[in-house]
Amino acid sequence: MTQPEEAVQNLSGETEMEKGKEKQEAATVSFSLNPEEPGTETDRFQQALLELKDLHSQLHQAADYCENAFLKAGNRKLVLESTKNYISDAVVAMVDHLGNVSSKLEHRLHGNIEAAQTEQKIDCLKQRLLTCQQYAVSLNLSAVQWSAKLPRYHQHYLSPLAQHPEKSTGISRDETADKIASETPRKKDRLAVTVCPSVSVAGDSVKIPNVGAGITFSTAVPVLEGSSILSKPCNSSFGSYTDDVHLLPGVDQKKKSMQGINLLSFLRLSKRKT
Amino acid sequence: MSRAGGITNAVNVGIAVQADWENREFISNISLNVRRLFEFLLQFEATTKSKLAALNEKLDILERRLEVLEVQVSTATTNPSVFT
Repeated sequence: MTQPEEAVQNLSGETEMEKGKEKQEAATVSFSLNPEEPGTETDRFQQALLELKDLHSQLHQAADYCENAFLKAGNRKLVLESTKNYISDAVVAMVDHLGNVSSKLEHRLHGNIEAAQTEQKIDCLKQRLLTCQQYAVSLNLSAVQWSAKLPRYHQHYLSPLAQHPEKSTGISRDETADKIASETPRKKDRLAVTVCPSVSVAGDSVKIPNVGAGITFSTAVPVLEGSSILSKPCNSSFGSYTDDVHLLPGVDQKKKSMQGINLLSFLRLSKRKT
Repeated sequence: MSRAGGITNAVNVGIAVQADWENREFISNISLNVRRLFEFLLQFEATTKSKLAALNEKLDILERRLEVLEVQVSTATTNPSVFT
């Protein structure tokens, strides 16, 4: 190969390198103009990523070309200088591309308001559902608080106090029902007591001292205490006598007097037997 | 004559050595910048992964909450007596 041919080849190589450089610069320029284009953030990010991939292949091609040109060229110093310049520009372009891609990805991640919007929508739905549930609960509560079908006990099983509440308190039945419903179940049990037939010893009802003037002694059990208490036979045995007395309110203090009565009736029975 | 040739040879060697050092400096600069780029890429990958993981977790939580809401709504629609 003669020297002119080498020179021509060098020139052609240099011109090709210049073309590659121009291509690279054009890509950089087109990249720098891209952010001005309208479009969604996702499209921009995809475009920047594609440009980065294109740059990768372009750099590989440019490296191969520079290697070949350096090996074949006569004036290697010129090729080396142009390669150096090309490498510097390529590194700068690479940094630029990477910065662009990373900034767009960062912007995409930070500017993702869809998740926040969805979270707000879910919170709104949850609050709506909670409101509906609260409304339903309040409706159920109101139905429980006042009901026309309040439990009514038979008159036979009601104490005189519970039979005529209007007389004693002067309020209507509804008000009384509401009052009873609002009271604790224990108090309700105390108000609604069943009255067993009065215990008679030798045909007479027993009058208990310290219980109340004019009140004949009778066993009273709470209606709602359960069938175990009501199922007990109301006979005149001593055990039931004392057991039933325990269920009356305020009778615990008079236990000793009841025991005295039991003793009295026991003495009477023993006298009869003899 | 021979002394002049020796001087020019020494000068040429000196110029070549200087050029070689310049080339080495350029290569070291380029390699340093490439390493920095590599470090940046590694750091960027780590931060991006963590951010994507956080976003994924957030979306999972939202998905679960949405499923719970769907179940609650379906329960309420199948039992309309709850709202009457």
